[in-house]
Order: sequence, then structure tokens, then C-alpha cells
Amino acid sequence: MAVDVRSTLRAQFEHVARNQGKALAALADELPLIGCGLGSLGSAMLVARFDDALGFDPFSTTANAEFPATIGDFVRV
Amino acid sequence: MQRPAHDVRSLGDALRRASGRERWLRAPGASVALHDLARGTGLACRPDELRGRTVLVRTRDPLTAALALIQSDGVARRLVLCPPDLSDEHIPYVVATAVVDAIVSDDVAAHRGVGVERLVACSATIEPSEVEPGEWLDTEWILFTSGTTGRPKMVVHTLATLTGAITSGGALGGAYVWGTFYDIRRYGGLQILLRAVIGGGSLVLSGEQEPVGEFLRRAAEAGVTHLTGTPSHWRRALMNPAARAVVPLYARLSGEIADQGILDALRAAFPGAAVSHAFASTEVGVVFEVSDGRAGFPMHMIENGASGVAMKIEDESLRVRSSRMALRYLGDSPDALTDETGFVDTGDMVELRDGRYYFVGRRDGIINVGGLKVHPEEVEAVLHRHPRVRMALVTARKNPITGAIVVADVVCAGHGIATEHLENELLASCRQSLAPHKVPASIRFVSSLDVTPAGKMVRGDT
Repeated sequence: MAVDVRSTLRAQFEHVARNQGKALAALADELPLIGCGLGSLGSAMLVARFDDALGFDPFSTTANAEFPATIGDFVRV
Repeated sequence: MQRPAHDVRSLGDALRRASGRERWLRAPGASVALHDLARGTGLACRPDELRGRTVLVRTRDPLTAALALIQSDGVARRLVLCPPDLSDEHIPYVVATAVVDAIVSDDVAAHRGVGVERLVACSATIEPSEVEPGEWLDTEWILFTSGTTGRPKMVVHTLATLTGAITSGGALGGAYVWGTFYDIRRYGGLQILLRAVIGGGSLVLSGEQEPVGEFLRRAAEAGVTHLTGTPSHWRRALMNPAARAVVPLYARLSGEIADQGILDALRAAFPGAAVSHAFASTEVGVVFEVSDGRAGFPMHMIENGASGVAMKIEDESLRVRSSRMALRYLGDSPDALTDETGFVDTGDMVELRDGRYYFVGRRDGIINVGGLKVHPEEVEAVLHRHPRVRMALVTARKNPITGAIVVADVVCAGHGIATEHLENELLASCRQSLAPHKVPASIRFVSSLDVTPAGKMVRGDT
């Protein structure tokens, strides 16, 4: 499951980076979202695409959902 | 008050003056010859029974509503025209506020118990009547504004304000066959009924639940020359193969922003037709019409205006003062329709680019992306330019980083051929024309998009 999520995530990262004309940092689990090279608008778009691709909003799946700060957080939710 | 170009005293007067040419109103399953109506009635009452009364017209069928209006205008003191989606729960409020003392309906039984004694049945079967009408009264027309939530809001018009835009140029005097996707029980459709009745033409009415293809088939069969609707109506129509059988001389859009995509699509679909878009609302009436085939309107129209109309832009929105606007809202403590200088704020935002004003969206529809504004319509206008896009809807989606983000639903030409490639093309064209925060985060390809009963895109509450 985590592998699927990770590959979906990577595809969406690449899509947003490509469409934003941004260079993407290597995707390590500990990479902070804000530092991934997409900027806040790109990160916001990524969240929306992630929601579309996986069918859930990573921020509303748990009651005390904390904002995923890193790539690893994203994969875990 | 400026008088319109015509001098008819009432709709009944217009019918009696008309030439002997065969004219009719046609709806799904029924047709009425206007010649018969001039000397007959579809109302089950004595001719003077509605004289001086406040008449609520509430019908299931748009054709019977049209007949009731034609026969009651100039006779009743006040006509209250109910749109088809006005729910039963609001009727007591409407009856009390407008001081209704008669109801005309093709479903009289449904109106027993609302506290109005005089219930008059109306049907599309016209019985001859030899009674000459008495003196025509200046009937007040009460229309419902297009707001959808809460208690209905009513405005007061007269035949003069409603028909002020019907000028002798073009719309009058022709053997035109009008057709409209609008329901004639709302302002946009009523305009077309009035043009047909006063201008000497005929009209094909759309049925409330009638499929668009079926309406187009009837319109083609009736030889429609003038066809009108919202941009959403037209986008749906152009997706339907039945549109190919219609050969209008004139295609008109109003009620939503007419972007360049839909104007170009209509030009391509109907090469022989004059395509124009009008700005109008129930409150301000018909403000202007643009016939140069381009979206927006030339800047000089603000200074020069049209006859009887003054316009200005304030806080980016279009303000209008016009002899064709409603006289006031109806109610105990109604809101003011105009500001102290007599102008109505339309809430429609415009942007000046190269000597032309473009409508960008409604003030109340703005999406806030991390503090930056987006009008969904301006993004839709870019999507609509792509040849494969038939309809697009841009909405806000909640987002933990920017508060909201823009996403799009798109209906494409053809089925099942939406690809990542198309999404990339659409996003590329958005990036080229729009600021980064206006570019949709994602585009979903859908088979259809909802349109309100008034023919406008269904937009969410966000």
C-alpha cells in the first residue's frame, strides 16, 4: 500500500512541478513539504491532486489530523 | 418615464392591432393561434371578472401562463407572475405581500386553501368571446428575482419598463419566429414572449422538463428565426446533434457571461446568424446588447450609454440607472433597489483591457486563494476557448495551505477520450492566460454539468 501511495504521490509531485515549471528536490521521506521546491501554491495544488488521486483528503481523515509537514507524513496518512 | 418605440396599451391591444398573418404560441403538445386569442379566451371566467384585481398567475404549463398574461394585462391592476420553481410554502407570503385577490392557474385545485376566493381556471383551449375589452389599465407586473434562497424577492415592473428595449429596429414588424430556452415565467423568457406578441411574431416555448434535443427539434420544425438562451443553454444545445437542424437568423445570449468561446462556437455553428449577447437582469431590465461578435463591451458604451440608460463602474462593478429597470422591490420594509443617485449595483464585476470592458464574475462568487482573488468565470472563459471543451465549471475546494484552491469540472466533445494529455493542454493554456493562483489544481472530466431552472451553471456555496 505504502509503495502505491508513494508512487502516486511521486506522480502528482512531478505533475505539479512540471506544470509550475519548478525543479523538484529528490523525494525523501523527511523532506519538508514547504521545502520541496513547489512553494505554498504548488503544495496546495499537490494536496488537491493527492485528494483526487487517492480519493481522500489527507487532512480530514482523522479528527486530530495534524498538518503533514513532510513527505513521510503524507505517505503515512 | 421614457416610452418604448411601440405605443401599445396592453398585450391584448397588441393582439387586436396585429395584421392578419398567421401567428401562434407553441409549446410541447399544444399550440394557440394568436388570432383566436384576440377574439377569444382561455380563461374560465367572465371577461370583466379580473378587472382591477391583483392576479397571481401560477401554472404548471408555460403556455397557459402566457395566455393568462396576455389576457390579464391591461385588465388586472396587478399581475404576479410565479416562476415554475416557486414552492407552495411561499405562496401565503406572496399572496399577503402583493395583496392578491385572484389566482389564475391550470391547476386550480392546488390553490384551494391559500385564502384567495377567486380561483380562475386557464387552459390552452380558446373559446370565442364577443365581449369588447373596456378601457385598458396600466397594469403593474410583479416578477420574482433570481435569488434562490430564503423568502422570494419581488420587483415591480410595468409594461413600459418591460418593453422599453423593444425598439422599432429589428425586433418589430417582422414575421419572426422566436424560440427561447428560457421559461417565459422569468424575466429573460418574458422578454421574448413580449417581443413576439408586440413585435408581430410567433413563439416556440420550451417545456419545463423538455429535453434540449426535443426542444431543438420542435424549433427547427417551426422554422425558428430568433433563438435565445443563456450561454449554458447554448453550450448544452451545441452538444446536441438536433442543433444542426436549426437555422436561426439571430442567436442571442444573456443571463451569464458570454465568453469568446461560446460566441465563436455559435458563429461556427450558425454561419448565417447574427450572434449577440445582452446584459439584463430582473432588477435592471435590458441594459445593452453587443453585436460585434466579441466578449465584453466597448468602453465608450459607458460614456454614451444606450437610450434611457446611464452606466458607470464603481468598485469594479457595473452600476446602472435606466428607464427599463424595476420601479422598486415589493414588501413591507423592502431594501432600496437603487442608491441615492438612482443607480443599481449589479454586482457584476468588470475589468478594462484594451479599451473594452470584460465581465469577470459576480462579486459574491469570488474565490480566495491564499488572499488572492479568483473569479471562477474568468478561468472558465479560458477553458471554454479549447476546441474540445463544451462546458466548464470552476469551483473552490477547501485547502489546508491556501484556504481554498481552484478546481475545474469539464465536459468534453466526444466520449471517453479525455486524457492526461488534454488536461495538460488545458492547464498550459490556463498558465499562459492566468496568474498562477487562478490555474486549476486539478481538472476532472465529467459527462455533464448541472444547470439551474433559470439556465445558469449550478455553482456551489463556497
